[in-house]
Formats: sequence, C-alpha cells, structure tokens
Amino acid sequence: MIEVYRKLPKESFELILRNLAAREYLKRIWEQYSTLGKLDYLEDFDKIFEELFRFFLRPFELIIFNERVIRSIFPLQDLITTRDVVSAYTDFVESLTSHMRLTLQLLSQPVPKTPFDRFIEDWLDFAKKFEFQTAFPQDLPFALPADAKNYLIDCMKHWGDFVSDYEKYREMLRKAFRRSIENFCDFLSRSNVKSFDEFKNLLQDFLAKEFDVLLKSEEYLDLQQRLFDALFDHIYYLRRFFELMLENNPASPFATVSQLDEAYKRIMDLRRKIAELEKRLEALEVRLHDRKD
Amino acid sequence: MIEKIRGVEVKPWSCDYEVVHEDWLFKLLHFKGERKHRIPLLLVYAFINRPYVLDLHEEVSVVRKLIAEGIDVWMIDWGYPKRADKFFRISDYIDYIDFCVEKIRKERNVEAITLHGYCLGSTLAVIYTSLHPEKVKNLVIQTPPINFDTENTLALWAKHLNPRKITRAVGNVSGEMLNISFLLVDPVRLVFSKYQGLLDNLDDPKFLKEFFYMDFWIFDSPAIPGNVYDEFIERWYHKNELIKNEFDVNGRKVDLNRITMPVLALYAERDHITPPSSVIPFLEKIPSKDKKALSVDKGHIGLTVSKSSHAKLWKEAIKWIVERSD
Repeated sequence: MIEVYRKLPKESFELILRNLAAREYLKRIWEQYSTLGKLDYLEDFDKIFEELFRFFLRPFELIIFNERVIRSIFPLQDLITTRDVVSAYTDFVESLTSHMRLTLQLLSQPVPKTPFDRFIEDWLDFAKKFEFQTAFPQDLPFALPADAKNYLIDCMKHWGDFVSDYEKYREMLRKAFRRSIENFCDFLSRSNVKSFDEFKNLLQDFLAKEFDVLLKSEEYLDLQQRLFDALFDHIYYLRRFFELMLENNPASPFATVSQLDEAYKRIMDLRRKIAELEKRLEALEVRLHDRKD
Repeated sequence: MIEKIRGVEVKPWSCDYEVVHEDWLFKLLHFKGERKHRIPLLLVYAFINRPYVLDLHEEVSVVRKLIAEGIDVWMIDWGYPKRADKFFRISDYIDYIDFCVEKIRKERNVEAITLHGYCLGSTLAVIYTSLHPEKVKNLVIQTPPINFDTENTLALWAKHLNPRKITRAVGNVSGEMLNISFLLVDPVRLVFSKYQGLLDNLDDPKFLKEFFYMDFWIFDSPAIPGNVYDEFIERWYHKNELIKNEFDVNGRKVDLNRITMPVLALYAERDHITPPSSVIPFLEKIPSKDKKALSVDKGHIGLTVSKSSHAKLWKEAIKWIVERSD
C-alpha cells in the first residue's frame, strides 16, 4: 500500500480509496433495493456524500487550523477562562481550609501540619503561576504593533464570514445530493433495475444532472464567490498580521513573504529592462554592421 | 487491486528531444527527427498543466505523428513557476514566443513558421500572430479559448472570481488549487464515475495504462504565476478583451484583423473547458481566406489523446499542416 501511495499522484490515490469505500456503501444499498424492490434515503447515502465531497471540502477545513494557530499564540480566552476557574477553586479551597482549621482548633491543640495543608500550599503556589501569565494577554491589545491590530480585527471578521459561508456551502452541496438521491429513489419505485451496474450508472446520472444545474446556478455562484472572498481575505490579513509582528520584532531573523515579494518584483522589473537593453544593443550592432558593409 | 496498480509504469515523453534554450523558467525544446519539409512547427502549450500530453505515449503522441510526416517540431515548456515567479506577466510569455520564433527562423533560415497553440497556448499563439503576422506562415489552434464569454461552468466560475484577492493571499495559484477547481466543475463524472470505471476495469492492463498516464498528467499541475492569473481572469474572462480587439501587450494593440494567414482550428464538441463557442466567433471574425475547423465528438483532453481522434481528426490536421509546410 505504501508503495502505491508513493507511486501514484496523491489525488489519484485518495480518489481510488474513496471510490472503493463508496462502492462498498453502494453495494449495501443495492442489496437492500434488490431485496425489497424499493429504496428510501439511507444513512449509507450520507457516507457516499462524505466520500465524494471530502476531497473538495478538506482544503476549506484545513484553513480552520489557522484559527487554532491564532488561539495557540493568543490564548486570551482560554487563559481568562482558566484563570476564573482557578480563582474560584482557590477561593473554595481557602474557605474550606479555614473552616477545617477552625474545626481542628476547637477539637485539639496544637494544630499539626497535615498532608492536606501541604497540598493547599502547593496549590496556591501553582495558582500564582496563572496570575503571572495572565498579565501579558491582558496587555496584548496595547502591545501590538501599529496596523497589526487592524489586520487582526479584519482577519477575525473575515474568519467569521468564512465559517458562516462554509456552513451554507456545505449544506447547499448536501441538499443537492439529497435531492438527487430522493429523485433516484422515486425513479426506482417506478422501474425495475436488474443489475448493480445499471443501478450504479443510474445513480451517477441522477447525481450528475443535479450538480450540473446547481454549479451553474446564481445562488451557487454568489455563495462560492463570497466563500472565496472571505477565505482569501482571511488568509491575507492573517499573514499581514504575522508579518507585522515579525517585522516589528528586532530579534526576528526572518524576512517576510511581502518583503521577498518586493525583492522579486524589483528583480523582474530589472530583468525586463536588461532584456530591452539587449534588444536595442543587438539592433545597434546590426545597424553598425550594415554601415560597415 | 494493489498488485495491479503497482505494476503500472508511467513514462511520458515518448519522443527524443533536446533543450535548445533555457531562460529561468521557460525552455525551448527541439524534437529529433528527419526533416522532410521546410517550414518548422512550434508548439505553444498552455501555462496550465504540462506539454507532454502532446507526447503522452507512443500510441497517442501528436508529436510523434508530426515527426513521422517529416515536420521539424519545436516546443515551448513554460516550467513550474515558484513564488519568485509571481511577477511574470502575459507579455513575458509573448516575448519568449518571439525569442523562440526568432531563434528557429535564424536556425532554419525561414521567413515564417507554423505556430501551433494548445488550449491557453492557443490564446498566446493568437496574440503573438496578431502582433507578428509576418513571422507566422500557418496558425493551428487546438481547443482554443479566444472568446471567453461562454456559458460553461468553468467560464461562469471565472467570471465570479476576484483573482486579486486570491493572489494577494497566496501569491501564485497552486496546481493543487487548480486541480480541485477543475474536478469540482464536474464532481460526479470526474471524481465518482471516472474512478468507478477504473474499479470496473482493474483486470484490463490496457485500460489501466491509459488511465494512469492520464491521471499522472492531470495531477502534474504547475502553479500559475499570480500576476498572470490576475490578467488572465480579469482581461480575458471578465472583460473578454481578446475577441473585442481590446487586449494589448506592452501598449501594442492585439488586432485579430491581422490574422490573414492559413488557420486551422481543432475543437471538441463536448469540451467543458473551452466549448465550441470559444472558437467559432474567432473563426468568423478573422479575415483569413484559408481557414478550416475540424471537430470531434470528444471532450477537452479526448481530442488530444483518444485513439478515435488520432484515427480521424489528427490524420486530417497533420495533412493540412504538411500541405502548407513547404
């Protein structure tokens, strides 16, 4: 298997495996139809949808990792939540300790240091670490380089648009798939399909017809455009945000993509000028040569 | 299944060639063969996918057929653009075509050559021919997008894209992004039916060979330089500048009225990328008196690699080229 994975284009490999799985589901559906002589929408159809459209949906879902990256760098929300929990728990532990200490004082003298006391001391030491760490994220909005704050805000705005449009996009594909399967089931109830091949070809025809219409529809075109705009704006603003953070860090040893692009652009412009000069020189040489003759 | 697939060997480029010139990204290739005709032919491939589809394997090699008829075949390879190539422009491609045409004219001591464009390479070939008609003796355009105002799904999608948002975010448009788009245009046939067909034919070694030669080629996709993508989507798809005589290269207007030489157009009736309506208005518009269209009941790629196309369309096409190569 590894050898085939290595040998084939990754797309071919994935699509073969997904089609193998889809065929298994399809065979199960066919068996049910050939036994009952009719078909309703089954869960296996959803699995076929997943196999067919994972290939297209995965790249969008990979982008979701961007959001995870932001969270891991600026875990403001996580830290605030954690700090509140730790703080509440600390209050509880302190009140419990106080209550127990008082109870023990009433029952016996002197009060010995128990393992429980040592746990409390350790816990309070641990909680202090969180207090220290939460100080920086609280300052973060003021610590960002100029413009970076706006890139971050834009990046998150487009992120929100992307997530909302992506849900609609996925749902639009799923609904079209379901619609074509329902038409297919309806057709089957009025006909007598005798072989698996015929069954499979019919299903493909029903699906293809539905998607041919969907992918050209105004509704689809508008949504796809919005989805792409939000996605690529999100990526752009996120990158610019990171770039500004890097550019403003005097210890950063890295050139940013935008800085490299600027250099590439200048090199291309110079290259065109050199080519133009070479052409003119060549023309001059020809003219000089002609004069000598 | 694994055993059967493991046995498949894919080795495109069936004909021998040498790299005659290399300029950063671009290369000029020359195929070895006995020359029986005076006029050389330069193949200008698209900047999407790789040119070896014209020499995929012996049985369906257009290059091999041309060489067999004694045509002197040259080809431009646009390479695999990297981030550093983001600022290439369409005019750089036209300039390189001019460089190659000049080189071939000098080497072969001819006034003009046959320029054969394929897909977006046809678009470049048409632009070049309009700018330098004196250097093009014959123009062959294969599945050519010239009129971009068509109703196929891909064209509709292109018209609903903001290319600059894409390229400012990712630089170049990667091959992977292009592959996903090309498959999503027809997901059921290209992702489901096609691979179900493979599962049905695992015992047929010939089928497996042809299937994987195609799949390797389809997924061997170079990126499109960011600036080229912007220009191509905005000026061709959004504004349809070429067919309206509104496109320019470095300030020089591209006027289709200058195409007066013999023109052969090859198109596919079931092409979902460049449908017949991409080329027919062009044929009607140009003043050439010697123009011919050959079509086949296939799709965009089937025209190039199907055996039935080779048996009929390519036979006629190569005859047309040979008759005008002396």
